[in-house]
Amino acid sequence: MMKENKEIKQEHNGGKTKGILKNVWMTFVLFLYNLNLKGFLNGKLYRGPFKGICMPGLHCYSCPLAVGSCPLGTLQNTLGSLKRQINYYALGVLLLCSASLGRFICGLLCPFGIIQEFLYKIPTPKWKPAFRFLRYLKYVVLVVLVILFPIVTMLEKGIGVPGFCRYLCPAGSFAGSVLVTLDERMRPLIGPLFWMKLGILIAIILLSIFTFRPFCRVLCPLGAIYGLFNKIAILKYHVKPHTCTGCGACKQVCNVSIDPVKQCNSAECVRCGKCREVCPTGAITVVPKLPTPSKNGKIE
Amino acid sequence: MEEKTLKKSSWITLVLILISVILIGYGLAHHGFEMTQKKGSAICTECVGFE
Repeated sequence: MMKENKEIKQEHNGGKTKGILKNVWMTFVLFLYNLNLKGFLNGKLYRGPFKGICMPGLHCYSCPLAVGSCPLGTLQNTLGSLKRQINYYALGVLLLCSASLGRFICGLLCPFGIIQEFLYKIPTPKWKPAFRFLRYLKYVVLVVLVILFPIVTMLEKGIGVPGFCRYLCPAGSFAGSVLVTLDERMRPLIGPLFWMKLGILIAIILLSIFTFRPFCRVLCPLGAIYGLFNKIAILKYHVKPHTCTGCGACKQVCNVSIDPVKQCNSAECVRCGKCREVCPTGAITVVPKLPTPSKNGKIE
Repeated sequence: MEEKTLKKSSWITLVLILISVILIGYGLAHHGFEMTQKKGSAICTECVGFE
């Protein structure tokens, strides 16, 4: 019995170390996306070769801090210019990220998700809604604003308008606020749309303090795309049935209100890793799955 | 049964990854990073909410 307790304590300490490592990693990722610190001082956008690289996480490429390009912005621009040319490279990057990592990108590589997670760490009373119906809103946003809006506006006006960027994207509102703060010449460009989007950003920031990643769970179309691949992505969660004791600790701490034992690869799982941190027996593991040659030489 | 589904899904994943690699290769061979870079190098008024 004492030996068992010691093992559980060791596993718990391991979980704490994992948590610290994750925080270090998330800080590093935030810096990686926002390396143009010079732009933050003079309000000028980075226009170098790295802007050609499509990053996997949601951010705004119009932000003076950003060094890469946003996959959603690039996707909308591609759909809005289907008549002229298709950005196969950006589509390929999006598909590669989805099929290899799924929502691990949300958990570990998305700067906007990371900011929300850091806000959630502020010690306040927490609200844990399941968003049983609201969670489907992100698929509506994906279809209407990301896919249909650029195509319809392109067919009508000749130039596709990125609907998600224009009406919803909170990362864009943050970029706009930075630009307006740093450059006086930008201020006359502010209109009702800017204030509406700023309101959305403030609401998301406030909600993130009390609820875990509200934007990722309810509105993010990029999360919707990655979530669809959670079950078939190379990297996914696996629960060892013989190691799991069914204690329910993972379900209790799950930030997105799912049961990790039954739905470890659910489209809602943002791979925050909380379930793995608390599991006393280490039953939840991350496994890469690809067809492998069997003993008789055949590929299975 | 579960093992069979897992194998099937890993085949789908492999095909998707091959398609994505072909898309990336084709895109880079034709336009390089230029298309993405051009879009990301100017302030997108829609993105930042300017009129």
